[in-house]
Amino acid sequence: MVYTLDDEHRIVHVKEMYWPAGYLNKPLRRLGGSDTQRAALEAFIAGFNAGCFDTVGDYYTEDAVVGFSPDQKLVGKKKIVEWMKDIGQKVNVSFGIESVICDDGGICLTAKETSKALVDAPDFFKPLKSGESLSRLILVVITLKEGLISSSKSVEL
Amino acid sequence: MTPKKNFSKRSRMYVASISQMNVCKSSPIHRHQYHRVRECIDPQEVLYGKQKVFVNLDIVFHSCVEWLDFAYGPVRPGDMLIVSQMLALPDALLGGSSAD
Repeated sequence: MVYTLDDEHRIVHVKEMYWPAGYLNKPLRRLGGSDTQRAALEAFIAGFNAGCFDTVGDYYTEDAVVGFSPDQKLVGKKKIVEWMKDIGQKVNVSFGIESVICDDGGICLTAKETSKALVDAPDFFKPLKSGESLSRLILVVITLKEGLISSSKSVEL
Repeated sequence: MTPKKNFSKRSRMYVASISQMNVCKSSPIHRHQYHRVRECIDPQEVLYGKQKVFVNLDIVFHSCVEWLDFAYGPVRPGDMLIVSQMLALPDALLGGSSAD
């Protein structure tokens, strides 16, 4: 964008030019410790809460591992997204971040997780009947690889 | 680690002002204005010449809501939109003496 100003510094002419993202600049690392990457984390959580699971999947590496408990983990972005969609049809899960620490290597956050069953969900981590809701505080530790989630573990506090 | 960018001393003034703007946008006052789609400016290269500053920058929009008629294109929660720009600013802008 080029501004031409007159003697009183008023804009008299503007030229704009746009080019595709990544054409000149380095690829952006989505998550990390910068202001932009913290904003991306907020968008990631908002995307999950809104049920935009395909979009949320773009925040994971292809070989990402998500662990819920020592005996339950999902491996691979495709499986993680499928699991989100499957759960999303039965239970409306949303997160509200309470505190977060971010850097380029990882993210540690505490969040209030609220789950409301849309239908009977006997295979949810805690079986819920339709209309029942559950709220708990969780700690999530995320490892990042080039700005994407490569592993995620969560425990109840 | 995010690659460190090497900016000259004068250019760092511009980068610092941008960083301050990004931080300010998360303040309560700006959150009201920007709560729907957060806009963050990420300078890639800054060249400082006589009476001109050239900046190659990315403007990154992070959406927390569905905003289908957003100026740069439709966005949904979780979406990230990047607009790359090359700006040429008069030096006077750095001193804050004009064009506010």
